[in-house]
Order: sequence, then C-alpha cells, then structure tokens
Amino acid sequence: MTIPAISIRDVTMDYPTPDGVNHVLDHVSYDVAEGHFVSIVGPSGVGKTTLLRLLTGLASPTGGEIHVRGERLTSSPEGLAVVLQDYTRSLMPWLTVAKNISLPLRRAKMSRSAVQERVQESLAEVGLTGTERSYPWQLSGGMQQRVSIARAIAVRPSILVMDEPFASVDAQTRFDLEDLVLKVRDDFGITTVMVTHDIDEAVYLSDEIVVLHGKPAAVRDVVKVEIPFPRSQMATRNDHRFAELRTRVYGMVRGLE
Amino acid sequence: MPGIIRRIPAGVISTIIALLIWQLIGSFGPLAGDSFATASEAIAGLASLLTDSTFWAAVGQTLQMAVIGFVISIVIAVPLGLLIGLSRFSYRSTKFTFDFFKVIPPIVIIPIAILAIGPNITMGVVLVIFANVFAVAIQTAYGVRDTDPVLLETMRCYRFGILQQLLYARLPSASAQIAVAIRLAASAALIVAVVAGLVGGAPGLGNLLMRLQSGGQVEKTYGVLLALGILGILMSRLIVRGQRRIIFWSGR
Amino acid sequence: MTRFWRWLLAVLIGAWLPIVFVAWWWNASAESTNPFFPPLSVIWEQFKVNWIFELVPVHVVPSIRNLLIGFLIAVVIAIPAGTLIGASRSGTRYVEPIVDFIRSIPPVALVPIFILLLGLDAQMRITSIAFSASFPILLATIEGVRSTNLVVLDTAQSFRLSPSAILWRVRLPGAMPTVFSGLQVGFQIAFVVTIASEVLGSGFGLGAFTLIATDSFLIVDAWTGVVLLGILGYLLNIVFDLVERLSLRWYYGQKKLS
Repeated sequence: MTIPAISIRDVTMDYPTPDGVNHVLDHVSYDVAEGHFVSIVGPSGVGKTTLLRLLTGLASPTGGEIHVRGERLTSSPEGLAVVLQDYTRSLMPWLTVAKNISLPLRRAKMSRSAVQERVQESLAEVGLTGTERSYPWQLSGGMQQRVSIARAIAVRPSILVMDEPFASVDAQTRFDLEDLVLKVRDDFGITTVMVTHDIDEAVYLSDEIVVLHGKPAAVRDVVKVEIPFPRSQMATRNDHRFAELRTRVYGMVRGLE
Repeated sequence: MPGIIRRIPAGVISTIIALLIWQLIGSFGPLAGDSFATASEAIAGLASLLTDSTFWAAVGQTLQMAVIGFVISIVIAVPLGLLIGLSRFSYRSTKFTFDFFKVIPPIVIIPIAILAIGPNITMGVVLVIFANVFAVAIQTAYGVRDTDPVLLETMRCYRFGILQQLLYARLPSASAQIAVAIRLAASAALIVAVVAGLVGGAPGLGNLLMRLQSGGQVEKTYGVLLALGILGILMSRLIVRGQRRIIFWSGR
Repeated sequence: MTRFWRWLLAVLIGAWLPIVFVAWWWNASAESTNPFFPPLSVIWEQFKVNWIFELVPVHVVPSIRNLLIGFLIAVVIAIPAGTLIGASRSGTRYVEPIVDFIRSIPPVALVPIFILLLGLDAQMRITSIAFSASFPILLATIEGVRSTNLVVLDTAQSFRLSPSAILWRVRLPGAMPTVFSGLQVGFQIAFVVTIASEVLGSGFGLGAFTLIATDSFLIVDAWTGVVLLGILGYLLNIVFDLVERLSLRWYYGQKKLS
C-alpha cells in the first residue's frame, strides 16, 4: 500500500473561549493521495480554515494526529507552500516581486544565480515575466495572487495548500487563475489542498471534494470528481457530470441531502 | 492679470496677505503700541539678528541640544522597543509605565533637572531624551507587535525562525510606526530644546528670547519667533522628505 | 469568573513594573544624603502636608481653571473656523501654510509675547493657552472636513440637504475622529502652556509653586510639585481619553469590527 501524502487521523479541535470550549472539528479522518487535488468545502464558519491551519502545522490538533508522508506533523513540514486569500497581507510591501519570491529560497542554500533562475522560471510559469522590479502594491489583485503562486512554486513544494485563493479577485481573473493552478499542478505534480466556499470551483479543479458539515464539523462525505483532465472552462462546465456533481455537493453543504 | 496671479503659489499669496493684516493690526488694532511689533518691525528685528553672532550661537546651541538629545533617544528607544515588542508579556508589562511617562510633558521635570544638572546644554539634552524615549520605545514595540499575523503565518509555513521573522517581517513592518514616532520626536526635540532655554535657563534660542523680552527689545523678540517658525518648518520638511524615501511602500 | 481573572491578570501584568519602580525608589533613597534627591518617604510626608489638601485651592484649582477655560475657548473658536476653512478648497490652500507656520513655533515661546502684550495676570495665561491650543485643533479640523468620504457626501446631497446642513451635520461629524487627534495634541499643549505661563508669569499656580520652590532651594517642596504635576498630567490624559471614547463610540465600534 502506498503512503498517502497527507493523512488526517481522527482529528479533533477545541478552542477555549471565555464562554466555554468551542468544539470546531470532531474526529475528522481523511487521506490525501499523492498528486491529488483535493478541495475542502462546507458552510461558512464550519471549520475549513481551522483544518487548513492544522495541515500547515500552524496549529496542533487537540486530539488525533496528522501525518505527512508517514511522519507525524509537529511544525510546518518541509516542502510545503501556501497561498492565502489575503494576497495584500501575505506579500511584503517593502520587497519587490522578485525579492518576495526569492525570500523563502534564502533558507535553501542556493547560489545567487540559481535563485535568480528560479525566480525567472516561477514568474514565467505564472505569466508575469517582466514584473521582477515592481512592488506588489503596484500590481492588480489578480497579479498579486499570481505572485504568491509564483512564490509557492519557487520552493518546488511537494504539497501546496491554498485558503480561498481566488476569493478576492473578479470573476474573469478567477477563471484565469483556476486554469493557472491546474497547469502548475500538471507541470510539477504537486499534491494540492484547497479550501473554498465556491462549489463550482471545487468541482472544476478537484480529484476529490471533502464536504465538512455539522457543529462540531465532521466529514459529511467525500465526492470523487470523475471528469477527465485536462479540463477547460467551456467544456468542463457544460459537462452533464459537472452539473450533477455541483448539485449534489451543493445539497450536502446546505444539509439538504 | 488673473492668469499671473494663478501661477503664484498659494503659500506666497497667503503669506503676503497675512503680513499685510499683521501690519494693519500692529499699527491700528486695539493692542497696537510699543509692545506689539508690526510685521515690518518683526522682519527688521529678524534681519538685525541675522547679522548678530549671539543669535547664531543661540541657534547652534538649540540645534545641538535638539540633535544630540534626538539621536540618543532614538539609539536607546528603537532597540528597546524591538526588545519589548518581541513578547506579549514584556509589551503588556511595560505599556502602562511607558504610557505614564510618555504623557508627562518634560516641562514638569525641569525643576528637578535644574537642581540635579544645572541650567546648561546637558540639561537640555536630558529633557529632550525624557520627552522622546518613552514615546518612541512604546511606538516601536507597538509596531513590532502589530505585524500582520497573515504575514507571520506565511513565514512560519515557509519554516522561518523567530529571528528571521523579526528581521524580514516585524522590523520592516514596524518601520512605518517607527518613522511616525521619529518624526514626532524630531519636532518635539526642537520644541523641548527651546523650552529648556525659556523655562529652565539652558542656553540657546529660548534663553535669548527670554532675555530679549525682559530687556524690552520688542522687535528682536518677534524676530526670534519668526526664526523659530522657519526653523520648525525646515525641520519637518527635511524629515518628511527622508521618511518618504525610506518608507516608500506606505501611503502608496 | 474567567473574565474577572483575565482582567485581574491584565492589571497585574501592567502594574508590577511601576510597583517595583516605586519600591526601588523608596528603598534606594531611604538613606539618601544627596540634597537634590531626598528620600521618597520625606517627599511623601511633605506631599501629604501640601497637597492633601491644604494648598490645592490656592495652587491647583486656578491652574486647572485656566487650563479648562483656555482650552474651551480654543475649541469653540477653532472647530467652527476649521470647518468653514476645510469646506472651501481655496480657503484650505491659502490658510493652511499660515496656520502651519504658526504651529511650528514652540507654543511656550509665544508666552513671552503675551506677557509683553497683556502683562502677568490670568487673562494673559488664558489667552496664551487658548491661542497655542487652537492651532493643532484648527489644522486637524481642516484636514478632517476636507477629506470627507465622497460616498457619504453624495448620499447626503441626494437627500437634498442644504449646504449648511451637509457641512455641520455630515462633514463635521465625519471629521470628528481626525478632530479629536487635534484636540488631544491641543490639550497636551494647553497643559504645558498652563505651567509655562505660570512659571514665566510668576504668581499662583502649581507650575509657579514648583519653580519658586526650586529657586528657593526648598527641594522637597519642589519634588512634591513635580510628582503632583506628573500625576495630574497623566490623570487629565485619562479623562481626555474617556471623553474621546464616549464621543466617538461609532468610530471605535466600527474599527473593532474591521
């Protein structure tokens, strides 16, 4: 049996608050297969972001364990990259685009020219060649999010974690970024976990969709998306399987099914 | 004709109008008299000061107190603030105490300073430090604590340590706060250096102003005030310019 | 219960340093023979004699009265004037450089001028306070009114409010957070000028008391004056903060949410 990229085992999360304990996650178990694209969906406030913080090692579960490639997670694992919703807050306004991308590379002992090359490659991958010397705040929202994707792939991650990555950009840019993420996954074979509240987006991008529901939240269901890759905004979204899946997942999120 | 007027900067026009009004009030207003210098008299007073070596000596002494005190307060306060800001406990422990001393104006401790140090340059420097050190330190600490948590979490995901977070994220992010504190400190330094002379008898422009006033040299007294205003404006222009260059990303 | 313990913990964390400081001062100065740094116990005894409450009506009450009257005059003049100036684009352009210049003069330096003009009485002190305090308030009001939120302004106009109603009921209230920052600076300046006007103008008042004690080498008295001034300065600041929090509840509520 192959070892899953990420293994979530019986994870429970409680927060102490002044008004008592807040139970967020209740015995969540799920395995992310190597190379898969997995979306986590659920009604707002259900604990999607909490689960994501546990996966990145930013917080530790109060019960259960998370294993990354068979090793128990205690802090942020090697080979992890993140893309967060607030691109304005996760990029450093005092660094140029190139410096923002190369910052995580400082920890890897790479030569200056190798770093330069990596930055160029990453920028080319996201279609931003020529913006090295710009500052993030001089770019549009969609471009800034591309910069954080470039920063993520520059470290050659084996796992990419994204929290509502396209929530604050306009609809057109959103489609472009979705296709960019698919391309990146294709080019580098990265295992990707994404939290989203957009069910269409989850169906369009994922191999599997994890539906969280309840308070405290548990895995309501795992939906396999059996639409072949490569996918396209026009064809895939018109596929009858797409429509069926989105209706099914929508029903689960709303608690109708 | 209106075209020409429109091309003159508003500041020049308003200065001319203000001087005219001042001249009129000084000549015909209810307080007109020997002790109210008109605009022209004040400018004449300033002009005569400009050729006077005691005036330039006083300017030098005031700037000396302001600059030395300012530099020492920054050198003490910024590292102190960084240190305090590193942990929640140290920040919350010191906040009340520093806030307390921050709001006490330095004029309050002048009597003690006169007794302990005497009316000299050192006293002026100490007062400037007292005026600034608490405010800059607490503001720096606040800036360090106020670093965007999203930024810090991003860094933690990329496995950066505490020290790297301080260097790459907390310090640059706090620098906007630090810059504001430093700008306020610079203008406070000048003001306190003058007050040290006025109230505490330290040398410099404050002292000169006091002596001219009690000596009945009305024109020159007003001249010193004009000089102080010009000095203050120059100082703040200089600092705003430097700040824009260093903290280029804020106020984009 | 947990809320109470949290509160207690917060108070303790804030209080231990000042307590340690005062205790250290008390012990370190106990055997002091340095005439300039008398034992804190001696200062405290004299403090009780002077300020609880023997001399308060003579020296403290007039100081605070002058401070409040002067500050109120500054507020009453500067806020309406600033509102009118800030509402007019060219008004702002012409007035701001002058106001900026006068504000650049250290406020205490204006006191000698007012002594020349008005003599040494309470009128001089109040005028000095009002004049110095009004400039930061004026500048902040101009700035606040000038930068009214355009959406709010458009909305108000679509309700067909009269221009004066828009100015006083929409633009001025919207500018209040900025105005208050000016009021705070103005209030601190008023406090400093209150002391300075007493010191330079001789006579009654806490500032005058302290400096006269210094000049006469009544060192313990001078220390009690400094301690009381420090406490007063801090307390007045707290009162000001409370007033601000109460008046700007909408602003702080909104800020907390964002």
